[in-house]
Amino acid sequence: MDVLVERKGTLAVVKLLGRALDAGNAPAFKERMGPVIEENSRVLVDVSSLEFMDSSGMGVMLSCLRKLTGKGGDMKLCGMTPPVRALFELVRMHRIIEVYNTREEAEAAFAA
Amino acid sequence: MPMHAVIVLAGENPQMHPLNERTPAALIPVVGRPFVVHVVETLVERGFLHFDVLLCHRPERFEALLGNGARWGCSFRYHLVRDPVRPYRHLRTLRHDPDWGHSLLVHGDRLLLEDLGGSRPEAPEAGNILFCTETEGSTDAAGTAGWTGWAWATAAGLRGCPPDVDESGLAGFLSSGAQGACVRVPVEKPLSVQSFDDLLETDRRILDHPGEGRLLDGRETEPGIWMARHVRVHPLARLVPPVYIGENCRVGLGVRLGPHAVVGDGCVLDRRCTVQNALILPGSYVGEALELADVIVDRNRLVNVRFGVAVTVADDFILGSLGERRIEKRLMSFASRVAAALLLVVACPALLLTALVLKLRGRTPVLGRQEAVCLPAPEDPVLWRTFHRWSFNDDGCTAESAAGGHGSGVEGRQGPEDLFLRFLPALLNIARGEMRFVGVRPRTREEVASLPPDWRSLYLASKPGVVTEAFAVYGSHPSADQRYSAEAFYCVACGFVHDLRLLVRYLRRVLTGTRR
Repeated sequence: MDVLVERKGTLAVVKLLGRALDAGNAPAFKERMGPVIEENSRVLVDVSSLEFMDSSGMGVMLSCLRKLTGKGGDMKLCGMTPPVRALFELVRMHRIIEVYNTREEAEAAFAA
Repeated sequence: MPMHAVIVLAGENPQMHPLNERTPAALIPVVGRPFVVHVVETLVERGFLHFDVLLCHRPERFEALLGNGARWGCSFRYHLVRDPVRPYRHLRTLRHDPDWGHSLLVHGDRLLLEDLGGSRPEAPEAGNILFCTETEGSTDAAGTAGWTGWAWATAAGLRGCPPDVDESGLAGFLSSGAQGACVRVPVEKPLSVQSFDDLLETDRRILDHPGEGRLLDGRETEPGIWMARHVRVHPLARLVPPVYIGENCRVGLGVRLGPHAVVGDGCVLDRRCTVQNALILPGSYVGEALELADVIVDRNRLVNVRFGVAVTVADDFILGSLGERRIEKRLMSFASRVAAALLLVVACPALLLTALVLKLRGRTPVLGRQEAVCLPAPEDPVLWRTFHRWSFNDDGCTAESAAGGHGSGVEGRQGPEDLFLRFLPALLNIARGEMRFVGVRPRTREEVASLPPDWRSLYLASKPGVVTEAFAVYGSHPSADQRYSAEAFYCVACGFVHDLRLLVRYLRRVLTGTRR
């Protein structure tokens, strides 16, 4: 899973470039996120390119969030497409990970 | 000037428990339509075109109901909030068009019938306006007592809202004068669905004043008797106005309905029952000769509003549900049971051989059983039934049964022994209809009760299975996060194709040791 990491001050913005986060690429994504989580305490994950996510993808997101909150940091998601958003709503993931419609709103939330 | 409103629909009001387990309070029908639809239509009538909606509890239901706003000629933007008690964090990041001026902040479980357009501040630099009911002996120094949850607020005010406040904290902030002088405007008590009492009172008010707010749908067949389409009323039933009867209802012989009775869509009131000052929610059956007063009925659940007590009635002939039973689910269940029975017959020699081997190894007892909750199950633990899950006793089984809490425990065994020790004995449970080939991990009462609320409600709506998503994807020792994500995902994604896929992954994992 290709990702683009951009730093905006103390915030790391990770943009996923693939269309699916599933059992096939979730382990690679988790590995890719490892250094980002270690070096940053605030991470925004832009999932606007994702059309599909399965339990493996959700598990990786939860795992990343837990590692960040464990060291006093935070992670938010932004730009969900309708299928991914529908999944998050049905499994109540939005009660665990904060979700914003746009990157601007999420960055404003970090800044506020 | 186009008008903008922010509707807060995030709360899970504890006063409406357990009614709001199935349906968020703002989605409960009030004289035929969900309460939130009344709120939206009232605002649209007053000229509001742009809406930001904050959602937390069952957001998918609100989004499915309201859509993108096109049917009202307006636009909706939905925002998912994490905390239902403190949902105002997102107010700080809303995009606000300068042309909008002040925004109307609305709590979607309350509806003010006054026309508020005249009170809208013209100048953008004007302060906030809080709409409050007059409360006697108010000692609130901040002047927020009696706040209805509706207010005109400046964009700067919303942006400056503290992130982790509840409703009273928000009221305190809005009235603090940080954005200019705050004005309190006295209004009548709003229509509300914040409590059982409020719900019945809302129905009463609408029935007593049908012209107010124009909220009543349907045809007034006689003074005070409102009916929707396809209602069948027995000629010997007695309707005492005011009464509202929803679509596709049947009112039987000798029924006494009203005064102040609201019957939702698709209900059946059986012979000689009496319903007054009551709300019968859609899809409910009211049994013969039942007398209901000051109650709310939601299928098999009865809420006595006078005492604030809710009971679930187990006997369908008293109170029941008229919901459709999906024939596909029944066919799948039947097919699963037949397949398991056939497999059991074929696998009998293997089962006996396994038992013999374990016996020779000194395992006693050879066969182990663990009590597990039957699924799907209602939210009320008193109504949970259990069954005995069978498996051969081995170290893995012991570890699994000893696992405490939702996050720990073993999903299964990694190699082919899982087929013999866990899968084959469970065929008996599958043949009896207690489990399926694929589902969520069977849990004891204590384990289910210890699940976090969101996880538990997803789990109780699912079905127990031998093969789980967590095992098929992560193996025998998933972490707590992996287990939650796997189960939650399965609960919403399960179906014939997905189950088949998981079954194949499981067989590949146990037979070849490969993960994919």
